[in-house]
Amino acid sequence: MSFAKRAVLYVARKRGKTLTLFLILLVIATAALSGIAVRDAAATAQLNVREALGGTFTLRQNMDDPSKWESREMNVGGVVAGTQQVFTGERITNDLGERIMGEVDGIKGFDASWSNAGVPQTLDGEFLELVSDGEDDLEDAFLQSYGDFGKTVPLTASTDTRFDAYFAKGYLELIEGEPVRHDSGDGVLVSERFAELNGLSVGDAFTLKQSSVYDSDELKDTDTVTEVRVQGIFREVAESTAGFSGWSASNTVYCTYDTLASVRPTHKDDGFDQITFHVDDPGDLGRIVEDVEASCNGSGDFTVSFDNGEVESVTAPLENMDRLVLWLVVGVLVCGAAVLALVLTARVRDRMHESGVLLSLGVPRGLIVGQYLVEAVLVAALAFAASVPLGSVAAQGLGDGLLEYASEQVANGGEGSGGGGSVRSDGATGMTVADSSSFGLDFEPNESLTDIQVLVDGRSAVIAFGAGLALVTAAVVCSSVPLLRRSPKEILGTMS
Amino acid sequence: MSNARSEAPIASGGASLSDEAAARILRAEAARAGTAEAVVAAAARTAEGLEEPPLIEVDDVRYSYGSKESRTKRSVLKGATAAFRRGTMYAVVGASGCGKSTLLSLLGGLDLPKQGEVRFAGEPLDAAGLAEHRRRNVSFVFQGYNLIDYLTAAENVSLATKLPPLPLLEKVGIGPDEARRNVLALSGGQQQRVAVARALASEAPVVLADEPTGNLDEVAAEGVADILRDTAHRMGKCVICVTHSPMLARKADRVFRLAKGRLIKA
Repeated sequence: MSFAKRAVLYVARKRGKTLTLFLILLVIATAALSGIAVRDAAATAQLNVREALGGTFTLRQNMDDPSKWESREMNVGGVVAGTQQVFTGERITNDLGERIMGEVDGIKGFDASWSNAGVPQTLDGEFLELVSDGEDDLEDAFLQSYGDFGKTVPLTASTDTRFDAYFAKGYLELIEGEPVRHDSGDGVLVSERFAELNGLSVGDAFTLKQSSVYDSDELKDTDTVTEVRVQGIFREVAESTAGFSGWSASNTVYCTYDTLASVRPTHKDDGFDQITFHVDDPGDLGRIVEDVEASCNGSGDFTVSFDNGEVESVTAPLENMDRLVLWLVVGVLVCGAAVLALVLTARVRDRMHESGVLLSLGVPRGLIVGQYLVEAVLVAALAFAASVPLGSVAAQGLGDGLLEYASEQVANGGEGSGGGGSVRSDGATGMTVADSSSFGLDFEPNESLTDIQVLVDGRSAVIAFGAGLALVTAAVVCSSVPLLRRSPKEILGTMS
Repeated sequence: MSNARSEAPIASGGASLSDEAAARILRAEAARAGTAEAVVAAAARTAEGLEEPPLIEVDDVRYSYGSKESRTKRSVLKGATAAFRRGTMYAVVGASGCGKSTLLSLLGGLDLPKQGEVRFAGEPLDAAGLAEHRRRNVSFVFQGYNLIDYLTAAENVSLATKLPPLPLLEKVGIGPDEARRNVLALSGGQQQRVAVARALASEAPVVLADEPTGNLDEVAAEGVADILRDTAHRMGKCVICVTHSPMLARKADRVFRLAKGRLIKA
């Protein structure tokens, strides 16, 4: 009778002992699989959070260096009217952004932006209606008194609206059409409310011009009328307020640099205000910023700034959870291995009599140990097979609980940090957010954390099974040491 | 015995026959005759008349427990010498602790003597290796049956052979129904018969039995003793029993008494 057949018969007939070993291995395998799955989920959650937080850094013109400025005569109507300071450093352009992206690894995309204001009109020259919350204050009334200045809206030139700060953070959402890019020509994005108010849809045309308050002898507002076409429509997902009601997010028009330069030709050579780069993993932000500074800031024409505190404060609870689960898994495996070794040692000792009988029949020791090993592997295979569905259920339950806890920690951390995904006041865009805490509550990663599926995948199962088989093999071999070391006479002596 | 002696010259008269061949013929004749007396007589003729070379023998074997430095060193074998031949059932008797089981373990290749030699077919055991000796040359029957408790009777026998187990079990009086039962469901006598069947199933020519009837009632013990004797006589095996049982000793062809560390023909 082969040792494998003996092993199968033992497993099938010694049901109590088989069940004991099965339960021990089931607990170990389930704990290991659950732990691996929860760790994977925690890692996914960390990545989601970091991606949702949108690790960014901003490159701006360095205006503080006096050596970058020079005085030039200001000529008005052929007459020198004085001097003006002109920045002489390298300007921020789309090409600069593309060059940096090409040179530095880990950058997902960028958006160069320039914000100004313009007056939207129909093709017939009539003012378009602006979205208003019906709370015109004195400042609005004051603006109205300056002719069409009260009809101005924020114009934001963008090289890629997908990476605009508000779109990237999810506060604005493109619901129709295409994003505006550097090469979008006359394409613009308008808000859903603005489009509905003026009966605009994707493909419709209207015009933009500069306010007549900037009129001079050389340049009238009528000279700046620029025809644009609605390329996409966005929706405001988050609540926002602005300094002037006309400069709200609802009235903002996203356009190309060429469009804005055509509307405000006196500033056409100024370049973009800033470039916001989005990185793949905010964890790499420090390294990426160093690379960017090394790549382009030798001239001192730019400043680079970033704030990683938000990411760290939010991901810290998840990292703690990751460590907790790791220690949990290690603890279970160590305890499990100890219990397994004890149980298997007891089994082998208990079977010394059987070993002696087999030895007396001339069965080599190796085949006796082989039988014990096959028995353990058979039971382990059954336990591991059962642990996959059980581990999935346990992992989902454990993972949900831990991720919910981590979510609370994230929310608390976000509020405490003062960041929390809020959009800070930004005069350059003309859009400010009065109540940042409202964004903190709608912080997207909080929702996505508990939505994460905690699954026992194939890789986890293979790792657990491999480790389990190694553990079982080691335990059987170690527990068989007495059998391997004792002489046949000693073993048979125990049989009398 | 006298018969055996008188017939010996007849068998050995054929000059072309070797001693071993002649012994084989005698055993075959005896088996054909079918009577226990004839079998016993044939075995006796083989053993004494033809001087068949011993199958396994101990030669001036000495064995003691405890190390040389130990104050509790105890010598159990002090120059034991004996030869054991095929087709014969031997009984080794003696007081408890006199070294009977030690002698059996030395014959079985479970240990080596401190001095002297154990030989199988004329070769020292340690020449071919003890494990090889255990695997090929000897099979054991123990007092405690030593069956594997999660196997049936038939499966226990199958541990020792690839041949069908049922005919072997039938030879020792275990029917097909009992053969398919778990051994724990059998009586003590039946279990010992299964153990004997397992020993017989092995192709090993030497059967070493340690108190094979020690746990059995009289009837069962006699049955097992008969089986062991038949094993020697019909299958030509060398059966060596260590026992306290007078009944088993009576059934044996040869009896050795182990006293003061030496084997003495009884």
